[in-house]
Amino acid sequence: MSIAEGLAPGRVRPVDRVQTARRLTVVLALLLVVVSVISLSSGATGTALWPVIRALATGQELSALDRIVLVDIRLPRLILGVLVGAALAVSGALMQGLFRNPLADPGIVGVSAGAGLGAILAIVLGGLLPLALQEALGSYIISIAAFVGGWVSTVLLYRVATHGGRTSVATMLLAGIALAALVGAFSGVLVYMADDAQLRDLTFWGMGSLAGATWTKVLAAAPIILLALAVAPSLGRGLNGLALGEATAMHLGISVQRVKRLAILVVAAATGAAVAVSGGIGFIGIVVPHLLRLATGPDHRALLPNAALLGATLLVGADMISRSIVAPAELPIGIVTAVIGAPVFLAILLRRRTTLGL
Amino acid sequence: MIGKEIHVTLGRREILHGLDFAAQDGRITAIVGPNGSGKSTLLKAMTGEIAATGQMELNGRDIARMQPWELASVRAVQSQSTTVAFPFTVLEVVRLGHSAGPWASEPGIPEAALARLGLEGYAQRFYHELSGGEQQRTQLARVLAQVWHPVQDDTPSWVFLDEPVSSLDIGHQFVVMDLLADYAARGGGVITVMHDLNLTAIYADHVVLMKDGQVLARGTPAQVLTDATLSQAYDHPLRVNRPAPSGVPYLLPQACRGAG
Repeated sequence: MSIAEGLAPGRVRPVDRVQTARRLTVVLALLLVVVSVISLSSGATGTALWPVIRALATGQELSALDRIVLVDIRLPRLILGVLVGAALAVSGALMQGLFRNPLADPGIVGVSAGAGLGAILAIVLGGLLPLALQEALGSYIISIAAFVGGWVSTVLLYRVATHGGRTSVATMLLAGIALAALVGAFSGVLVYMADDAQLRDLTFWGMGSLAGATWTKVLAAAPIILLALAVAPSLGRGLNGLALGEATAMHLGISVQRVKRLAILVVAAATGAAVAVSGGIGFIGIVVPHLLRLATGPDHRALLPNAALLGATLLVGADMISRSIVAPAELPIGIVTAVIGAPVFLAILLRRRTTLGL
Repeated sequence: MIGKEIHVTLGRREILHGLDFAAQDGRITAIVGPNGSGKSTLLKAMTGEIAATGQMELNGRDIARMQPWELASVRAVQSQSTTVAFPFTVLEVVRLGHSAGPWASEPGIPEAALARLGLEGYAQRFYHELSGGEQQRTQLARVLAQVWHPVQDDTPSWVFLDEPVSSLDIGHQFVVMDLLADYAARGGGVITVMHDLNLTAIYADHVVLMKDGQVLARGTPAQVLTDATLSQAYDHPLRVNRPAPSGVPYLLPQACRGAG
């Protein structure tokens, strides 16, 4: 018998929200599998998954069309959606923990814009790098440049918006606007300088879509995002402590500076890689952690893995909507996520307006 | 806990001017003094929240050479700031303290800590929906859950508190002070910044009276809380009374108004 039960006979045993969140992890993983299967079996060409599986099971050859549709179009697109969705949702959760604020999101406060500038720099000026370096970096060059851009803007933003361990929401959002404007100006100059081929690359990249998914893009993003996702859960305890303030986190035995630096690096890596391959897809980082906090509470040890799963599921789902709603044409996925996400953002803002002092 | 030659400079202003500090385990050491005398600054310098020069030792070990997790296993700190980002429940906040301390594997401590502070029914309430006093008691429960047993392998555990009763009603002030006295009596160390001189007189074993970043007087409450010393510290004529049976000094604002 625990002490609590002894002191309060008959009282309902407190619900452990972390336990609930761990059970939710299993549900979310199953949901991701289901959504992935549906995503693989739906599309403009009408290739269905079951005939293909049956064909594989009975040893029949796939038709050339089926193979191209499944292996070269739908599968890389699915994997990219899973990676990008997980990366954006985890980045959002990490930034919110770091800034101690549920409105912090890489897309809103200018980190994605910074990563975007890095990507544009790589597209336009990448040709100026020594040839050996270009070959060595290969398809990673945009991802790496986006990572550096995202990292610089996160560090800048943190310096501006946080003073003595406290983050001013107003400063954070305004600094994000300023950062995005500055990045926009630089990007404009680069676009102006770009030649025709580069312009085409930029246009496709800037659409913020999974439509251009290829195995090359998957391979360019996967190592960075998977590494970031692997490191993120280790920040859970530190971010929980930070919720009580920097000083208290320190007294709880947390190396505050280490946690902050690592969180910024992981955010920059995940956001950078996601932006490099999919352009700016917004609001996943706001919506997913918000829903999970409502469901199972703010404990980051459970929030971070669950955010990865729900983010992946949500983006794959949004991608299906973007492919099917105006089929055979495609709606850019950024539009779908904005339609879902912007109202959630406004709802948080309205609910917390008084406590945020806005 | 020993501090020697503690200097703190914030901006261009030196707040603490090389003061010495000592507190013993098994006692409540109270830091008192007027507003701006450097009470909280001294506490923050000792807990490492602000940069300070000087030598500081806890249980005979140099604090500067201890890792955050080592310190967290022998010392818990309650600062004045009580904001918690995100909707954590009361129990979850207390568990954050519990899981950071050396008794993390011993079940039931967070619930017991809440019970000691009269918060049994609050475990599932959201922290940010509580009143200021309830938040303050929750934070104290968190501190207590971190260093639950006052002695660990013959080494005392410590709590550092910055005005732990400032938001509490008089009933809960006594609950908290009794709890601290019990912690000290069982061998733990308690260092607390106090605003209320009467509670200090009742509960403190050792009083450090500060003024202008220096120690004006130190000793037992009877030695420190005298008319002359307090009047000098607070720049106002103050008169201390002593009730016959206990001899514990007390101040009545009524008796001090227009005194001198």
